[in-house]
Amino acid sequence: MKQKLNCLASLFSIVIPMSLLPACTAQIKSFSVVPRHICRGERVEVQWDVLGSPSIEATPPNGGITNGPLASEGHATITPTTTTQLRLHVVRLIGSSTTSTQEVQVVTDGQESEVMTASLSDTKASPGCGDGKVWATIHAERFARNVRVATVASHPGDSRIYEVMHSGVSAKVAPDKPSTAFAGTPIVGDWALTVPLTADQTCETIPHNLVIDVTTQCAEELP
Amino acid sequence: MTPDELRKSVDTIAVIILENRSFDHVLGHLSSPEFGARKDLQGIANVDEQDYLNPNTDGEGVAPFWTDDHPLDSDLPHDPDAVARQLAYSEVTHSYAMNGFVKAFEDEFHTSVSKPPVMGLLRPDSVPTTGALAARYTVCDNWFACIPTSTAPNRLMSMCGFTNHRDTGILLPDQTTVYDWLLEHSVRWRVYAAGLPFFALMPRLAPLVLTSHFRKFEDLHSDLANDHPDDWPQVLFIEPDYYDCPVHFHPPCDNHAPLSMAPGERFLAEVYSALSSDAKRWSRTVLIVTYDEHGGFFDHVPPLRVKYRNDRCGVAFDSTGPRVPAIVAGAFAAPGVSKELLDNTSILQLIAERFGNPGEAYSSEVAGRMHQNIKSVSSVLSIGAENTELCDVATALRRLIGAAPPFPTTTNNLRAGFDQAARNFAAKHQAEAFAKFPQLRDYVKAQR
Repeated sequence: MKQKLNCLASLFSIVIPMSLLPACTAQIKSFSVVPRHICRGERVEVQWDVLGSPSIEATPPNGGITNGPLASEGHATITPTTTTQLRLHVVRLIGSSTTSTQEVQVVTDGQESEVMTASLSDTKASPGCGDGKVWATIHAERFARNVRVATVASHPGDSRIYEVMHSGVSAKVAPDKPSTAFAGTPIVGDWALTVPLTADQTCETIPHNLVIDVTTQCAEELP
Repeated sequence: MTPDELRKSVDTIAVIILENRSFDHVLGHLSSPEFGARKDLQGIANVDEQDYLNPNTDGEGVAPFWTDDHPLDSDLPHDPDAVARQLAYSEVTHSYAMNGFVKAFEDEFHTSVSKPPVMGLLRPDSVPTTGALAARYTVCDNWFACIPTSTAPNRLMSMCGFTNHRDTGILLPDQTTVYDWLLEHSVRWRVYAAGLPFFALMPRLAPLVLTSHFRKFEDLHSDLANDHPDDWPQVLFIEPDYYDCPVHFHPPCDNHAPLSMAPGERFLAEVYSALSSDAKRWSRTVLIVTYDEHGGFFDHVPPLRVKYRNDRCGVAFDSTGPRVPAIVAGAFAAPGVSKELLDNTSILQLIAERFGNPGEAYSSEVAGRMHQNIKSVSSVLSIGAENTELCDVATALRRLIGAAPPFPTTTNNLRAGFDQAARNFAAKHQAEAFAKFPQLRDYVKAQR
């Protein structure tokens, strides 16, 4: 209510210090697309909640979203056939505008790999180091269940052998030798990675990231 | 350079502190095989380096990428909590991972894209002036933001040697500034400002801003031509027009996102052209170009473990901020790279060495940083450099800069502070303020 009064006061030309203007500033409280990584033509739920008047522009245009004004809180369903950017723009009568962008990525079979990364600084990755090895977990999120694993490899330049656990499968992933042990499992979910320290490494000198490269395919195209 | 050499050889120290860019974002390209492959500095030789990957919310690693200069959709996260997430201290390795830039951005801006702007590295064509200066003079590739937080505390550190604020508030707290130090030491100094000077945000300094110490940027050329050498300032601060100030005297040119770099590159070219136009004076000038802080942009070098403590005001940090672009130019700055550990208080050390009493530290706070290995800018300078050849900044000067800045995307404390400072200024010093800054009259009128 206080915010509305401040905005109304501005309309009637009462001088309002800029310090009060945050009350009139366009704000994006939430904006999400789920899932964000899909197979061609899968449904994606778009959700937004803003202060101000929103509009969403899809590039390339998508029938599920109209370019006109929208309610301040809402959702829509789209079915992209190609990678699509959704640009949420919010304006208010007084104050400033704001923009956020969500990109929906449409998987192209095996052509590109997802570089999945766990940081040893991220407590949510449950990282650790000891007994001659280092470990962390990647939480792969916002991938549609139809986006499946084709191969898993270590990242170029990383000469370590990874022990990988995912979807109830456990396998070693060696450099330059993509593993098919996880083929057909959904990429979404947890990937537990463990790597032995080399002779010249300590827990203080190891690289900060554990990384695997995952090529993907769509479920309906599985052999 | 020793203090003796400084006193004998340097007449003028000129300082430009721009806004909110990291070293890798602006100058990282210098190390790339694509753009010169300089092996003497710590830039980005290979964007695919595994440790440069920044995980996003979905678990993907996002690599830095080459990009061209353009306005962004928004400012980027750089408050103290966001910077802590960007530095990403690891309890496993007991070091900073420098891989939290993407998550900090996604969390604050509800944006998930394959190329988030925080990971963008500018190609050399985007920074023609900075690039020309970097090729001709000394690049400092270990120059860090003083503390891991936002604009105001870092500018207070730069101009006071200490800060009473942890984050950017509306107005600046009343602190003793370098202007007070220079007045106390009878050193001639001036500020040439393209917009409202930053320290107009400190209410105590408003009357000082109205004196002839503070001048318009466009007066720089004529003052250089007309001032008697004995009147020419010994210390010069040259300020851009700040994007976050709602009253503009020029197109904003401080390089603060979402602003593009083009106006700032042109401003820098104008400053360099003016200062180097008088060969005799230039031969005894040190020009320092630096930034207040990294502004949320990726940098791969961990911060220095330099502690900052201000117990009285409850401000405490355990490290510097990320690296910022920094170039020292002039006859005493040899082409190449300085590996010295520096931050913006290094400028205060230099000022004290040149204009203070022999052996006098700038302040106890700055001495505290010295004891933690932060060096003076004098460590970059060499009497034997004899670097008198000028660099070509014509490319930047030829570029056309649009007059309209991008519309502000957020109302933040700094913007509110500048607004309040402008209003206070107009209310308390109306005639003098309007005479000095005629645009203030229009601004205040428009607000009514």
